[in-house]
Amino acid sequence: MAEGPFAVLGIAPTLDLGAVKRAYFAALPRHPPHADPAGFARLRGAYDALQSPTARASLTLSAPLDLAALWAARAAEAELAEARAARVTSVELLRAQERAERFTDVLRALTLDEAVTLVPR
Amino acid sequence: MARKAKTAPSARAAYEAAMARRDVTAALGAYARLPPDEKQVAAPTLGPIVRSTVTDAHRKKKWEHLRVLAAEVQGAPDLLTVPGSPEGTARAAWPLLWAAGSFDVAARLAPLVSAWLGGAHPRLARAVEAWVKSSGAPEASLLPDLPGLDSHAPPKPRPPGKGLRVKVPLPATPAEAKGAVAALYASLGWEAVWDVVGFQWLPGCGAAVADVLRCEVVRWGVHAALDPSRGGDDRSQPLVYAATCALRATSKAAIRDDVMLMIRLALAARTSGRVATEALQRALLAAASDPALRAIADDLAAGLAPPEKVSAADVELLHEHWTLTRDARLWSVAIDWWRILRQAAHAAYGLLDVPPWLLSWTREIAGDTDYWRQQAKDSQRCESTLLALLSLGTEEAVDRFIARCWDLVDDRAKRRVAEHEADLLTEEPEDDGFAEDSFMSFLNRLTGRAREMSSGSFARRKRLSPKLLSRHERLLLAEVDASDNAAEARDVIERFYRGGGTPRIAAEAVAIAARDASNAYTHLIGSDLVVRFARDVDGLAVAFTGLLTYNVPTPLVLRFAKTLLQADEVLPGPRSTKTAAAITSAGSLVAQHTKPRAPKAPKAPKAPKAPKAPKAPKAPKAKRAAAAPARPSEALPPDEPVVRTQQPHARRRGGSDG
Repeated sequence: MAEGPFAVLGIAPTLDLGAVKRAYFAALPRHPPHADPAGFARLRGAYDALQSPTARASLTLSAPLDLAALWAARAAEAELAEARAARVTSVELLRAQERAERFTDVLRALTLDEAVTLVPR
Repeated sequence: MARKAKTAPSARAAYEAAMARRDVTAALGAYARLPPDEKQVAAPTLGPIVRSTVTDAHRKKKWEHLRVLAAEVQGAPDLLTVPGSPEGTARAAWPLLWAAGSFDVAARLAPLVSAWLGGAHPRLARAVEAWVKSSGAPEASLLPDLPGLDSHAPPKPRPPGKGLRVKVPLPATPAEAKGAVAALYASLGWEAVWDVVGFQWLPGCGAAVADVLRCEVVRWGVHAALDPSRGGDDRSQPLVYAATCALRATSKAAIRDDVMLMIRLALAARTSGRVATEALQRALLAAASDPALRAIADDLAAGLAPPEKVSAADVELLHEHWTLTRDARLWSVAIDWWRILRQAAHAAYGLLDVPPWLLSWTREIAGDTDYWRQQAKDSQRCESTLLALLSLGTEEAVDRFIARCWDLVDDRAKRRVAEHEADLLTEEPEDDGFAEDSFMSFLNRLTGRAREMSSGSFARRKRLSPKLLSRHERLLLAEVDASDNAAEARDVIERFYRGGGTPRIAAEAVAIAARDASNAYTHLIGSDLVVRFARDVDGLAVAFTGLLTYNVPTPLVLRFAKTLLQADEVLPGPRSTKTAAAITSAGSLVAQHTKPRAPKAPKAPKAPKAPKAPKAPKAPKAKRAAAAPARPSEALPPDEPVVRTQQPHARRRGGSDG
């Protein structure tokens, strides 16, 4: 089965022409026209096919959807790492909020005499 | 000063009245208005009562009462002060501090507590002070360890979805927004992202931050939909929210790839379930809001298959899509879905009203020549959309369609519409679940138009519906009056006559012809009228009654009367009272005009001519008129006597069609 243009360029389906260009120029040294004319022709054909926005859109839609690969690619994104780093802050924030709410709930139900007995000096 | 002097007695009276009925809240209100010297007198009495009321309310957990007391007492803290006992003061102020309801009030009451607590229990005093100063959100390290408050325990698990209410500070800059959404996703999951961003942040942040937040929600929504642990509708739910955000995001280019992935996911996950369908529709809507993706979104939406269970919201989403792109193909899809929905509703609980937005949409499509030109290329599609238009076409929509687009419909589709009409005529009206009456009437009108078109007699004339005719009756009469010549007047009358579907309107046209057109023409359309209703006794009766009312030449009325009598004989059946009355009067009219004349007396032999008498001078016209009453037949040619049963102007009062 013939490979789709995105697969030839080795990128995930995208509408971004810049990404297509970058992939084309990155792959060009691997298929120089004088050494690998067939490979170059394939590469060039894929690049040309992705020039029009409509073609990119329809090829993106018709590209096979590999959910596992997409999930892995997404999970590996820098944003996820950033989220993991930010997680500490977020959890701390929530924990403090949780404690404050609990502190209010407990103390408001007590008289002052009961509160001073409960809280250690 | 005068005002103060005036206020003091009334405040004192109110205070005393409140004390008499032991209403502490009212007493506190009046106490606040007392002059200082009187306050000093009242405080020793009111103070103990207030303190005991507070203790009692706290014991009974009457938080609302305590909140009111706190609001009143904050301005008069001396009422809580127990002389010589700071501990007693703190004990009285403690419940009010926690029940204050506002941190401003709590901050005013806090010194009464901490005056004693700071020395006796410094840790608790610090915690209370931090709690008040931070408006209920102190740092965790400042709070003492209470039983059940484990500093290392994870946050309590919360139910996902809309019940989640996490108070996380609003990001102030776009850079913060990105990290904050990522943190929410990492710590609490997708539901928290939607909940916090959608309900807490978006309403209160600036445009730039909001746009970044929306783009982030789209990104994490797609991420959640890719999650292998999710499946079916569960996977589609994040896409619904993400697509909602994508629609409103202004940086379309930043999320273009995400929107495309969203569509691919929705297409792949589509199980015809409710959420999956909504996700796909919303994703297409988001794509349609981006000019770069609009064409592809329209193509996909125009080819959408109906979900297993169509809902009104699904159809409305198609309408929303159409308002963005004005692609009329969506209307066909919407109508198909609407028919399915309507059939299901009919089976379950009865007929479903057509929503106003669908009617106005249909009206617009009905007059859209470009759309019908496109449809005309494919006869089959044209036919199905035409039937769809009829199935919920309003009268106005069908009129618009006939006026502008009927010529675009090909003959095959016209023929199919006629066949469909014939099929429907043989069916029971309730079989299909549609409003068959209106459907049938529209079909009839369209096929009537088709016949006119094929005969070519009215190809260039505007067709008016019976309803419009009755509304435009006056206008048409004015048109006849305004006609420059007889041919023009005839044209107007003929339009009126042919357009009217009821005998009454047709009879009116004949009457107008009798008034304004030539006798020959009046006879022509009168004869046509007789032929038109020859097989319809009721119709003939109505037309005959109408003609009797107007100034119509007698031979025509007589012809009508004879036809009516013949039809009554040939077509037996039960007659309504009106029809029976018309038949009776037709009988008497015919009898009156066909009365055998008395045999003529034999001619007497001619007498020789007497010489002519000299002529008398002519009397003036007016005198002649006064001398002898005018005969009706005088106004017309000698062969056309007139039946005058009513004054001409009375004709305009008849409104109904019989």
